[in-house]
Amino acid sequence: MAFSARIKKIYAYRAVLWEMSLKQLKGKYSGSMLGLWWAVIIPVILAFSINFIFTQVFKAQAENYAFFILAGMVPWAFFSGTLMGSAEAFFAQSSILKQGTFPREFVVISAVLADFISFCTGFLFLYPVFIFLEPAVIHLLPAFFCLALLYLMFVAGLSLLCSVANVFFRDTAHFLSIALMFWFWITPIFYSLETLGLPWRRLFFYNPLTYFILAFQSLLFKASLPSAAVSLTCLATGVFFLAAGYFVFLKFEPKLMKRI
Amino acid sequence: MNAVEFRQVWEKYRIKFIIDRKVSWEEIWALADVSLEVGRGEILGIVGQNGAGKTTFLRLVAGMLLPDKGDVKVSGRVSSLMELGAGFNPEFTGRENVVLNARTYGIDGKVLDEQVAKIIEFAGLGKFIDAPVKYYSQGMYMRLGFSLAVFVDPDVLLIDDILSVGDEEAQHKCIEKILELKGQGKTMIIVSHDMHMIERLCDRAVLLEHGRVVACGLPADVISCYLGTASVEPEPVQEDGAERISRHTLEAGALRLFIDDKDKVIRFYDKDKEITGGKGFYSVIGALEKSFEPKDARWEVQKLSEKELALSMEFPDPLFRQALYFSSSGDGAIDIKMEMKTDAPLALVYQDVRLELADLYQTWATAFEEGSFDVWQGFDHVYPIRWKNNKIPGVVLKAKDGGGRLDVSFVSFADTGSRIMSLNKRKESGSDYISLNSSGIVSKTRELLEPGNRLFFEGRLSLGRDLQPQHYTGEEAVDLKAGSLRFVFDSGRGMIFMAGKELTSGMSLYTSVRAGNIWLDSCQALWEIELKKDKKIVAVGHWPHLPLSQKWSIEMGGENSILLGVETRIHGEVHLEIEQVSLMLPSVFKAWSTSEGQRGSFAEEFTTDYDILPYRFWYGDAEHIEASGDGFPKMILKRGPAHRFLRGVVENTDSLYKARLVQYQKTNPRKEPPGAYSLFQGAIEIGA
Repeated sequence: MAFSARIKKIYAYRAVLWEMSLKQLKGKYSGSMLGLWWAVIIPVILAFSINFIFTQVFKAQAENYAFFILAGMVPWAFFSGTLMGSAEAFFAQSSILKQGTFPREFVVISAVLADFISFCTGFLFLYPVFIFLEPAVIHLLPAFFCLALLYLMFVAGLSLLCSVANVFFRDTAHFLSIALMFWFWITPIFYSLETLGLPWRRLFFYNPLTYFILAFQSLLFKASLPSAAVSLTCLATGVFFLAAGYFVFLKFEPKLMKRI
Repeated sequence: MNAVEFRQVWEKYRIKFIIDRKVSWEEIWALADVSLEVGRGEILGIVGQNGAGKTTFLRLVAGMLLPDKGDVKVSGRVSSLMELGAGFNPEFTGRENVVLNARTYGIDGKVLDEQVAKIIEFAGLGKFIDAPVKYYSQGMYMRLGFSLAVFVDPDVLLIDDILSVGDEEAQHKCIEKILELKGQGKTMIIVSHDMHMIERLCDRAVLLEHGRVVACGLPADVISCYLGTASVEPEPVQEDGAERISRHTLEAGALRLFIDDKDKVIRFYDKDKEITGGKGFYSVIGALEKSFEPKDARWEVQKLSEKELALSMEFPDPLFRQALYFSSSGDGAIDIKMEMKTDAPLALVYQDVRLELADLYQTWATAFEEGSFDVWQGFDHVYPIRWKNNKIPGVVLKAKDGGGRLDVSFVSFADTGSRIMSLNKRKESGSDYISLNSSGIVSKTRELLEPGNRLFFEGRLSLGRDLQPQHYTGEEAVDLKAGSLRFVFDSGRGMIFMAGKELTSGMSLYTSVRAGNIWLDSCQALWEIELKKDKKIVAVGHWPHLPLSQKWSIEMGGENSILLGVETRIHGEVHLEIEQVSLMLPSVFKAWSTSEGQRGSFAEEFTTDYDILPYRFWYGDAEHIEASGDGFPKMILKRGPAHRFLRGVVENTDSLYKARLVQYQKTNPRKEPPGAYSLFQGAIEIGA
């Protein structure tokens, strides 16, 4: 299918995408009492527990450490949650795939969007907290939106890659859960890069997520625009992963449908 | 204007097969070269066996699959009813699910609200529309799913055989709706196994078989084509169970026969307990490189009278029929007669009649030997009981002590030289079976059976106490005389007498062959005398289980010698590991010597093993071997100069015969192709 025709189809079915995302969101929290509040509660609890461990037990010295962690934790929660959730997307949604005639990538994209909505909701409540800490943060809101968008592109692309890989190698989902555990440690969420020694610091620069987290930390905690290097890398990473993910998806689409 | 167009469409699946933990992938073509056109407003029915490619076809129309080869063109909106409740969340109510999935199913956003109301009304679920769908029955689910799919207002509607799930009312409603849509000019493709529905609803039908379009046209025509190929057998008449059992049973005192045509096993009972096990009483016919067992045939049982039961087994390909007649003869015995009827010449390779019994018997006895079932040597789950003499009419099996079971005697009435009995223990997945086999030896030269009816087995199975095995009914032996020297040929065994005194013992002069680690002697073969003159005979023996026959030429060479020539004839690929020509002498013979000067004496020990290597005293190259004993003339086995490849052997027999052996052996390192060659040319000389 020609690329432009595909874009047209996506546009024509955009309502379906939105509806699917909403359905997934409702489905995720249906029956639970706290519902969407979980999107806020989980990162907050995580942040404060890490804070407790490091400041009280390890006696680390950092100002407003809990909020520093939070700035990176919420984006991380979106990243890991979405990736894990979308790995099985094609299998979980196999019945609806057989039913409708919408573009098939919606199955993954809707899962990503659903989590993105949770992510945004989380920030809806946490952003004021950051503003409270550093009033200058509010001026950076437009930049925050841009970053969020690039981040979405990055995660969407990566999710497409993982979910397609998972159709052919079911192990991908299991591998992913282990990889994410490791990934957490090599992302500077609860430590700042400055505290790391030089040979190790290089490792973290190979992690694409590092740049996004740094950007989030800049915008939310330090109340300053991220450096040009970081910003450009975020832009490039976002675009690259989305393109790569989509490309892989299109290439394997015919075979994919037979495996579900 | 066509709604759906298929042009030379091919679709394949790569399917994983897992057998015994080994994974293999196979590519299966679900659709092969399918070209089809469905006009707008047409209702097409698709029929075919499971796996013919119907669902694959629908998926291609739905756009769920992309064709591997060829083109699929669909114009208009497609809605499919393949999996009901696709995308439904069990926690949400019917109403919520309809609302949540409306757009995904393809319902236009603008008219969504009114459509939702219509959908809910059509589904007719009453108050259950507001209950979570996890509580729905299959039929309710189907009503809702159908309702949702239909109100999508598609241009093309695909239905994959789900209508049968609903109740009368639901089915009626659905069919009405389909007809309504038809009136509106909607295109529909229906897959169904309900031929009435296809005939009623469809304008045209298509028959798919293994992914290809086999028939296309009016529904009535295509359906009859389909049913013709479905090869459905008419429903067997159900009869009263007890009556049926009695029509398949024959009683003779404590012995009872039951022909189980459901499991295709012939069973025998000792009063109330079944004595057969595993495969029961059955025959195996080997012909045309296949072996035919009763399970391959169509069974028909007929009770001819209170004392007679007949079973007919029809083998389809090639066509031949086996007829078995069981008649109760006296107390505790049932006579068995087996006939074979062929319509065309059949190349018969072997015919075995087997009786497989459960492990209820402790000892066995034949006319010559007796023993128990302690066997340790075997392969492929079969442990043979070694008999020295297989040409016996029957075997008696004695029950295990304290079991209160009767002894079993199985006897064949045939000419003893034409059938070989064997007894094995068969171990299979934890169960042990006793397997009795009566093999008919088939002449290797007369291969083709003329069409007609022939008797191939006649025998008797009896139960009783202290049964005695039936004795050997000797065949006609052939005599050759020269002075006081007398040679007797008895079906693969040659006995030598001088002035009335027997010089040989046991198997006397005989040949044997080892193939697949099993020894088969000339005494076990079927012999035909080709030529009989005053001082010469030529006999041909046909070996069982092997494509081998041997030609013996025996001529009296004077008053003290017997000339012997043995020719091996191979009729098919076989590996004859060792071939032997042996002379068995009584244990009175104590000393031996060879033409090369070696000499020695025979030990007084005889092995109990299968292979008698421990008591081999010499082997090597020699022109002749001599044995001598008190009061007996020297016996010399001589080989001709052209047979230098033969190796001489001097050994004791095993403990069954407790005799001496002088032999010439030939080993073959590999399989020999069909052909003939001279194995032995020499003489037996009787010295002073």
